[in-house]
Amino acid sequence: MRYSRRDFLKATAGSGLIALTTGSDGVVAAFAAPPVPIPTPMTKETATFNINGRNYQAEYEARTTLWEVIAVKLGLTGTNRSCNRASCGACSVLLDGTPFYSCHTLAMEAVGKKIFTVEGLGDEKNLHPMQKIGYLYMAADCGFCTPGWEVTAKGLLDKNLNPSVDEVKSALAGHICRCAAYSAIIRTVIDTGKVLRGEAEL
Amino acid sequence: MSQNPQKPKIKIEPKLESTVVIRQPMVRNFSTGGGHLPGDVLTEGDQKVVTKKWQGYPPENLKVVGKPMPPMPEVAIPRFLGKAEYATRVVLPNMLHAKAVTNPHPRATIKSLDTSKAEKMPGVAYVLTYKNAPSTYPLTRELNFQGDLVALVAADTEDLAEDAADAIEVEYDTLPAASTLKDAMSSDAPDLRQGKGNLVILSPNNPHYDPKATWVAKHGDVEKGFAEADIIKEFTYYFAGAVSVPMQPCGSVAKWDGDKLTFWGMGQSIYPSRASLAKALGIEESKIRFIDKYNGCTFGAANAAARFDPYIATIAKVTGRPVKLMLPKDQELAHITIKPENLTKFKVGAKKDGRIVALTHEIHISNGDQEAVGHASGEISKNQTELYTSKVPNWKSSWHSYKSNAIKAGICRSYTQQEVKWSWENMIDEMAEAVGMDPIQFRLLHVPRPGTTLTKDWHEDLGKKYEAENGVVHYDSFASVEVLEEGAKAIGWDKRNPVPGGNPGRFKRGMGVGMSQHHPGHMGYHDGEVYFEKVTAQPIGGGQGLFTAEIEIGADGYVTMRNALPDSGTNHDTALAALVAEMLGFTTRDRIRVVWGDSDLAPSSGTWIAGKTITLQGAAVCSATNKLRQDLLRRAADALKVDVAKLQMRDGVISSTEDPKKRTTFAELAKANKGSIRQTGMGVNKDQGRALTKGVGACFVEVEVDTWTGNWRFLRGVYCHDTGLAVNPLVAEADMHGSLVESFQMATDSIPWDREFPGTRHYSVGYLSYRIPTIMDVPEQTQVFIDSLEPRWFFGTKSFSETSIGSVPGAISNAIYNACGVRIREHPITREKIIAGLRRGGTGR
Ligand code: FES
Ligand code: FES
Repeated sequence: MRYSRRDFLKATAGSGLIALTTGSDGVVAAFAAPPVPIPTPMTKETATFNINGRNYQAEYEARTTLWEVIAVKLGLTGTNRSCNRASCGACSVLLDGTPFYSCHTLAMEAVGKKIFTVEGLGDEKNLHPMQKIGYLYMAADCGFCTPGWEVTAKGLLDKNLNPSVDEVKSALAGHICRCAAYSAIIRTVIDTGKVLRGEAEL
Repeated sequence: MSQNPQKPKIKIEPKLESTVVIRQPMVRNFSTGGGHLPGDVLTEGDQKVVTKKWQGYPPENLKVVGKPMPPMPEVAIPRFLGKAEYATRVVLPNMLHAKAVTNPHPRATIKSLDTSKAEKMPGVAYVLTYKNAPSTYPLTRELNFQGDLVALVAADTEDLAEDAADAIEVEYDTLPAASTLKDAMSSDAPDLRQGKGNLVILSPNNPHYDPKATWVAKHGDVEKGFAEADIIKEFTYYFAGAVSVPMQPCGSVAKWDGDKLTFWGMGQSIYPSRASLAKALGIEESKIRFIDKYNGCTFGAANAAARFDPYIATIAKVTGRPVKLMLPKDQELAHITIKPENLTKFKVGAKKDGRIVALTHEIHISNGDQEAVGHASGEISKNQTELYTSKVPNWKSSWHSYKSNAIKAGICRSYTQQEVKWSWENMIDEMAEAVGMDPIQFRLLHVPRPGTTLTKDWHEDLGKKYEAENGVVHYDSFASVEVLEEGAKAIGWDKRNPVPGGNPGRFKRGMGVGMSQHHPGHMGYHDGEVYFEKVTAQPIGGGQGLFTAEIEIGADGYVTMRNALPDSGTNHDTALAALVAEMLGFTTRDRIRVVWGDSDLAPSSGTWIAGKTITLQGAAVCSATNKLRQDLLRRAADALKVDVAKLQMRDGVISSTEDPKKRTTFAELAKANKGSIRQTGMGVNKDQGRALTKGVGACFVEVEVDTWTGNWRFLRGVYCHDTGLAVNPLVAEADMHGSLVESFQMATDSIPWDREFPGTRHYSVGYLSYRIPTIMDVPEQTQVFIDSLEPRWFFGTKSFSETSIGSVPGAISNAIYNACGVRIREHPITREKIIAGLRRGGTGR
């Protein structure tokens, strides 16, 4: 009955390395694959995680999530975890520029990739325009969802400095804001693009 | 960088997105005899002095109050940096992580419990169960709802704690249960109250006692009323409950240093939370430093997750290590309070001209695992009754609360609003049709207006006995007419299709309206007022209580405001800082700083609830600031040898109105007083708040129904609020956006029961099963703020954030009816019900 990440991992491992065999019929391949031994969950490894351009060493197990590495083991607590079920987006980080839910990304999947978290965006002395505009527009009420969508929006703006409202919406569709600051979030992302393009100033 | 250097750059500035602010004239015909001047004495019914108009600070020549401004930077900017200190962000060296084992059954007792395997597992530090829970705060073998707490495991990591939680062996004896309202009401419901019956009943000496109901109130003679009526209708409605789902996982962190506990909690108070924690642990309050600066939403509901706090503190004590709990959404949902399921029956009698002359209202509520009568008792339960029947000569309202094996009913993004007003707003619409009136005109006929009086019996029922000792009480600032008329204008009500379902074609549009009024509606008193003394002479409890604020001027000329209350996205300190700035003669808010959310740093205060912070903590803040203002003027008068009456205060400078060279500054005065000048103020909130200071609101919606599929879309919303003077329209707008979206969702989502075990198990996967509106779902919306100027309060402000919140689900139902002729009496609104109604050719569930 209960869903847990360990079951998720067992399923992945036990179903014949979906990641390697997937094609359009990954599921079929998974069923067809011979059972492989489940890695013992207590196996520990240490690896280097590149976060916001800095390298960090962290120990992890096969089942350790990227969120746990970032926010608990390395103490970069800016990334919030809310649902822990890959459904709210609060825990988002970028891996090589693409947003991922860090609560359901295994630490081992992030090794060797460039990880970007909210800490990479800006700080008190040097606010990123998105942080400044978000503040001015009230794009956060409680702020719990904020680091998550900011990171995803950064990923969007890195690829497209002039997104339309619909593009912003679909980029952020995987983020829940329970305070429903959505319309301010949309205006923030659009106007951040304007500032980054040099058409608006703060 | 710019590609187009000629084109002037757009300047990024905070601005209102979609709000219309409608100022009421300064002078209007209040019941107290017309226009009012600054400092006027306001009297009520029996001519006793109640308060000063505007509390001496009139809404005139305002520089800061009423201006759209971003929130306090020290509060809001950390949210964008990932640095707001939610309890979930606290990571300490050597910290343990806790995981809970919870009851999978709606009702059971623990037959056997074996933790020995779990205790031996790697990384496990402690397992807490009923066998070793503290005697001051026991756990029992009796489990009364699905999700009830069985055990807590603390281990080095969350994964290890979860492994161990899985290894705990529990055998349950399941017991007959009543999780749903239907089960709880049924005559063969299992006995959940040791033979007393599941219906909670008051003691016979309570004036609202009834042997067959939890709480009854009445007025006039209902039988006589129905005999006089020309049209009599009966209606039944059902509301299937709703949940709030805060974003931050409920939980806490505890850390001991010797006998001193530092506790990072989640909720809406610092001191009341600390007091209950201390009581549960059997220690002195002063031994605990309680910190809660930020919450990722609480909705009032998260307060109930404090149940876990004493256990977390206990495990930290026994293990000598810090402990953290972050509840998964399913376990959280079982503990935070929800909007209860309810069944409502009306019988309404009206004259041909539309006037209601008799009404009976009967409501049945699933209370969850508690015997409290919250929803049924006190003034709040008569809230919507009052809105529509304060002019009705004969009515009776009876409330029935049943204990059940469900999640506890309680505060959940307002209290008693959406769930109670669902039926009222549907009924008013159906009744308007029955008497052949437009729904707005029908409402205008019944709602109170400034000048409407309530007689003494009404008033005592409302619990405001002080201000009506000998007489009647009047509505004063109550923009009932304006919220309806301005809202109608903004949505274009004149273009509304007059015949339900009358528009041609497959996609049919329709408009609907709903109303609600602020549920607690009363503001407190501040120290220095007559009734403050009266109220504080009695014990104050129940999470209400005494509010204290401290305002201090430092040698740098900055003002520090100390308010204990945590911020859940409320940004209340932003509004309070604007009041402080205005009262002290600043033209900007820049000189005000806030210190909050920590029992070591801010003075004792109550729980913020019910959207009343501006008049509760606000009472304390305004009182302290008023004292500080007088204090500064006196000091300046002494230093400058100028009469106080001839001094002016502007941006930290106090100068003579006659000779501007005679001047001193806040900073100099503070320096001369060993570096600071501070004052403390207090406010109180108890049932007997000020009379009839509630706001009123309306929601207008336009929907489009696809009559082939039953799908429907929320096209536009106009959300009207009787705001008093809105202190900061920018923050207010953001708050009201959220209020509309969440209330809109409450129309379409009930308690998320498990499909496999309906009525016994709620869903266990959080956001997936309770589909929370995303960025793709937000409707176009316009806020209408009616600045109705509450005469009894500083600058004409009032509490309004939960004023219109109850109107939304009913408004949507009414709009769907107008669009396609299908009346949904059974919440939630679904396409299946719409399509079934269309098949039946219109009206019906
Ligand atoms: S916490 Fe990862 S998606 Fe919700
Ligand atoms: S700001 Fe509260 S959840 Fe988005």
